[in-house]
Amino acid sequence: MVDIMKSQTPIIEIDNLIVSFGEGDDARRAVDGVSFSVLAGETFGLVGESGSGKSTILRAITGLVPSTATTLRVMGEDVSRERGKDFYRKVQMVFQDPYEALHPRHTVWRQLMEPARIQKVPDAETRAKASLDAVGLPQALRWRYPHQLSGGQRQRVAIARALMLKPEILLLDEPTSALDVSVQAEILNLLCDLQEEHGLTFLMVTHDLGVVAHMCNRTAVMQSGKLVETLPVDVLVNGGATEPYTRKLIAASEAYGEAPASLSQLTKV
Amino acid sequence: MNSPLLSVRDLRISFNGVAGPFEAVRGVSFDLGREKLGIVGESGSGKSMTGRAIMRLTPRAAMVKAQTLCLPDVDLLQASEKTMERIRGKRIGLIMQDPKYSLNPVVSVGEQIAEAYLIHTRSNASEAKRKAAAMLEAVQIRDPERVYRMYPHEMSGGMGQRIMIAMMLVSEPEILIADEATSALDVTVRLEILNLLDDLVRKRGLGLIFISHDLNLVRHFCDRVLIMYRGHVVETLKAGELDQATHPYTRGLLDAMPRIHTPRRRLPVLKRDPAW
Ligand SMILES: Nc1ncnc2c1ncn2[C@@H]1O[C@H](COP(=O)(O)OP(=O)(O)OP(=O)(O)O)[C@@H](O)[C@H]1O
Ligand SMILES: Nc1ncnc2c1ncn2[C@@H]1O[C@H](COP(=O)(O)OP(=O)(O)OP(=O)(O)O)[C@@H](O)[C@H]1O
Ligand SMILES: [Mg+2]
Ligand SMILES: [Mg+2]
Repeated sequence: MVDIMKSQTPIIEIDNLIVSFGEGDDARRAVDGVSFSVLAGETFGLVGESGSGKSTILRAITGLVPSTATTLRVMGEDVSRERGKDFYRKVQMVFQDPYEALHPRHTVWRQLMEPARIQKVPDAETRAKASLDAVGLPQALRWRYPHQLSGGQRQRVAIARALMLKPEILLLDEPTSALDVSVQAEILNLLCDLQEEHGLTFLMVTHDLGVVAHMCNRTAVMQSGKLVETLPVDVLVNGGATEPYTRKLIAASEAYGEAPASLSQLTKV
Repeated sequence: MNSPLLSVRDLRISFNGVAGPFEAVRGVSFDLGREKLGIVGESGSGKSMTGRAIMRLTPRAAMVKAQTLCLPDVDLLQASEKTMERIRGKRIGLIMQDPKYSLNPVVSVGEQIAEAYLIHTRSNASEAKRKAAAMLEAVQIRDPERVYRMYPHEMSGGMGQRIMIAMMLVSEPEILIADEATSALDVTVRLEILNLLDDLVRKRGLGLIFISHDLNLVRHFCDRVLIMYRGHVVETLKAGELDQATHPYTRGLLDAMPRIHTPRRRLPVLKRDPAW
């Protein structure tokens, strides 16, 4: 964890974000009036219930789903309507589901080179090689297609691709959920190094409070489309959460880490 | 162990790559009883391939060999494709690692679960519908009636996983292979799902193969764990004795886990020994 907060400048500002899906009786707000901001150079966690709207928030930031908001600013610019080409270089997203980010008929190499080509990156090949190394994938995998990789290898291709354009902001949706903890450690260390060297900002969705404790400065907790509370991570891990849902989440995670007498006992927290 | 539900001996899976043949699985052996068998291992070590080989669902390019791969009454290596069709889903369920891509994109999730029930049981449409709705509720889906009518692309990551779990449980298989089936669930929902699976093992004698990266989960939930590295099993342990693992890969895993109350500036990484 980076101990000192790098700045007090908000780099992502979100006020009253609303995303709705469905029509008529089936219309639902997947994100229901969410407000938070992420400071430049910090790692901000987004945790909470499955289906509570975490991925949808990341999609709304990148414009993949239509949304409304009182404020939706990234790097000081209003992005509630449109985003320039520059936005897609400076902001990169690692999807929860790597299949979604990767083109099924492109080789690993082409997945990496394509965004670099669009953005006219001069040293693309060198970068692509370095990205594969950085995520611990052998160069020999570069001629494979996504379906010829293991789940964790696919997830690492998606991470390598996001790093290709040297972004300033990374939106990470469960970026290590398919990795064994030894590879996860390598990726998390890599992210920390990038942050220290280049001052990157991370907005990171995860279900693993151990990862939150290790990586994040602050975290927001979500339940049913609403943001329940936002708190510094040291407050969270030291029992300072005030909302019942947050307390339940941390209690379950703690019990899970130590040795519970039985599984049924765990569910009762 | 008395009469295993599944026996695997010396399973080998290889691919012909540009750089010559590549062995993704190199001699995996285990027996599965009416228990919760965890499989933990390196990314790319052959866990999913092993699961798929049991279902005979490896990619066409894969060459599968084994001394034994059988249920008590069926040799899975020799069985006809027709026999396999009867086994898949009905006797052995497989929850794939990428659930949203294993579902049919143009059929509502509720209908898919109902269909799975209809195929494997003698029942009627209304009974299947009722059963599917109950299953959605059992896997902790909020607002199950509405979600029943929704399509796979409208599911969140964790909802997709739970749809897949519901679909595999509805036909009550004897063996369930869960490949990273709960990785996208928050801890509270995950514990509910584990309880559901635990019940099936205890009450119905289900044999569960649980592939997971979550060491804490495996430690508390499973009975035994196989640790895989580069295509083979490097260590087998009682789940409760995971902390006493001796293989350096397993030790490295235990060290690399981020912990809520023990902050470290950097996570320790493995020095991988080619001899493992
Ligand atoms: N394209 C869509 N159409 C309709 N509903 C959708 C769509 N995408 C998401 N939803 C709904 O929005 C809600 C929030 O989904 P989202 O994917 O943001 O959840 P999440 O917090 O990321 O959950 P998880 O942790 O399980 O991935 C869910 O109820 C989901 O069903
Ligand atoms: N179609 C294919 N052609 C060649 N190699 C393949 C193919 N499919 C998978 N592989 C390779 O087989 C190995 C085993 O893959 P498998 O999916 O079983 O790994 P895994 O243990 O499930 O990993 P993860 O934890 O990352 O999901 C990997 O190294 C993968 O790259
Ligand atoms: Mg999500
Ligand atoms: Mg796998």
